[in-house]
Amino acid sequence: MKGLFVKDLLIIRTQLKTILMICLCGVAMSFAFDSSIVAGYLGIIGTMLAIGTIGYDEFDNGFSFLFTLPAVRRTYVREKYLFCLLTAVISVCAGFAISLVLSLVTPNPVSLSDLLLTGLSMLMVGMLFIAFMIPVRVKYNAEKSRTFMYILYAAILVTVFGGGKILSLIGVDFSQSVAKLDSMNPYVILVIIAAIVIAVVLISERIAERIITKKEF
Amino acid sequence: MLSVKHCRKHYPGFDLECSIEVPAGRITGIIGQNGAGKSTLFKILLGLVFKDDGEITLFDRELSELTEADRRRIGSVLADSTFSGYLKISDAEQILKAFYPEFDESLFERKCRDLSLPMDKKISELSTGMKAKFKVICALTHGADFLILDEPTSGLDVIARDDVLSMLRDYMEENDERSILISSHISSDLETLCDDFYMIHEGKIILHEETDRLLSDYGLIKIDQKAYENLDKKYLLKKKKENYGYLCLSDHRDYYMENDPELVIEKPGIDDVINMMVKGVSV
Repeated sequence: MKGLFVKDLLIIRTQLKTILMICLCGVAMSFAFDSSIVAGYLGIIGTMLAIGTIGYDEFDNGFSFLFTLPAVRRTYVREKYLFCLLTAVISVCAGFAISLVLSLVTPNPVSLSDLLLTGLSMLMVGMLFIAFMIPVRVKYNAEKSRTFMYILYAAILVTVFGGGKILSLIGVDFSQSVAKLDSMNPYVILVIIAAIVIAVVLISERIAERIITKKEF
Repeated sequence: MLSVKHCRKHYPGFDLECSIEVPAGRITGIIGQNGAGKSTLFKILLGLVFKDDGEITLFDRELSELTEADRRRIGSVLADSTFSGYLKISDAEQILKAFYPEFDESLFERKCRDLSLPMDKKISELSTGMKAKFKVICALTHGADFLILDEPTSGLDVIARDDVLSMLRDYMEENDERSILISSHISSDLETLCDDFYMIHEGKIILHEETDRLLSDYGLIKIDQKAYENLDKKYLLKKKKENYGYLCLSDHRDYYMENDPELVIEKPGIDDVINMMVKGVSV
């Protein structure tokens, strides 16, 4: 697994300039919106960059060579999940730290607890991205995976902007549930969501392992 | 070292079925046309593709039961795949160091220097020849006991091919328990390197012979129609109709030379033998 980690770190290193540009964009955005946006933005982008290392592995028949190296296929999948999760955590922490500093200088300061909630929420979102995208990337090539990515974005947009409308159209009144949620401690809600997300990630990892052990190159 | 018994793999329009052995201390070649099944066999041995049937043992262990420690003893070259092109040679060195405890950094750097491979160049920017040399260096520098090389000299000029073959000879001289299984469609490489070779055609092994024996005992007999009818066919393997009569392949050249000094008999190369085994008919 050490060899796979080293490989992924070296691949990420080739994108240092891109990472720097992304950080600068995040900083610029915090002046237009509020500084908590940096934590979320960096968290998501960091996660996507980590997932993107699968594309580098696959490039130019790379998987064929990779699986001749002395790491069993399951190890590749486990390392990828660990690497992506670690990158997500580091990105969110970096975003959180930058947001904290920026909140002192920008015209839109944000409270520490809001920053923390945003950071942790974005970490959950990042983990869901990882849970969805790694099995897809391992199963399909880059082109097909992009299609699944667009489907995911569409599903998120529909859920966020149209979810309430759709539920009310089919006769579901969830205003009481929303009211109950509003009255709960947000950290309690976060812990419940975290437990669900961790379960989803574990199931996803099993699925990805099964895909990779059966795949032929 | 390696034993393959009745290994079968089916694809639509193609069936592989073969048995080969590679003893310790030997260099065994596999030669065949494009699409004959060489790469399929190699992919099965490297675990990239799964056999439908048959037994394969490597290092006295069933292939599917090889541990990470066993896999570290294998060095491989694939015809169309290597480290990600976005990485540099120096990055590949770091990755090999992390994967293989036996990796020899100084040997790797020395080989790259000797073969003029710049360490800070991206792998995607290497020429065909440089990439081929790089792949072989990666396979040779982590203390592997068994090399599986799929067309390692493909696309190389004469000088570059000679460099690669020299590296392989040096590798074998360091330890007489090592083995190499190498595929190629450049017969001259196999003639100078291999102890024995297998010919594969349409997924089947059609010939297995010691290289020395092929070069010393095999003969191509050129004979007219009338003389062919009177020829002792005991040691003829294949024949091919030509406009002058027949071209025949025999594995007992001396027998025919002693019994009929007037016969036109030539020493064949591996290419000639392949031609006859594929295009000739059995006698």
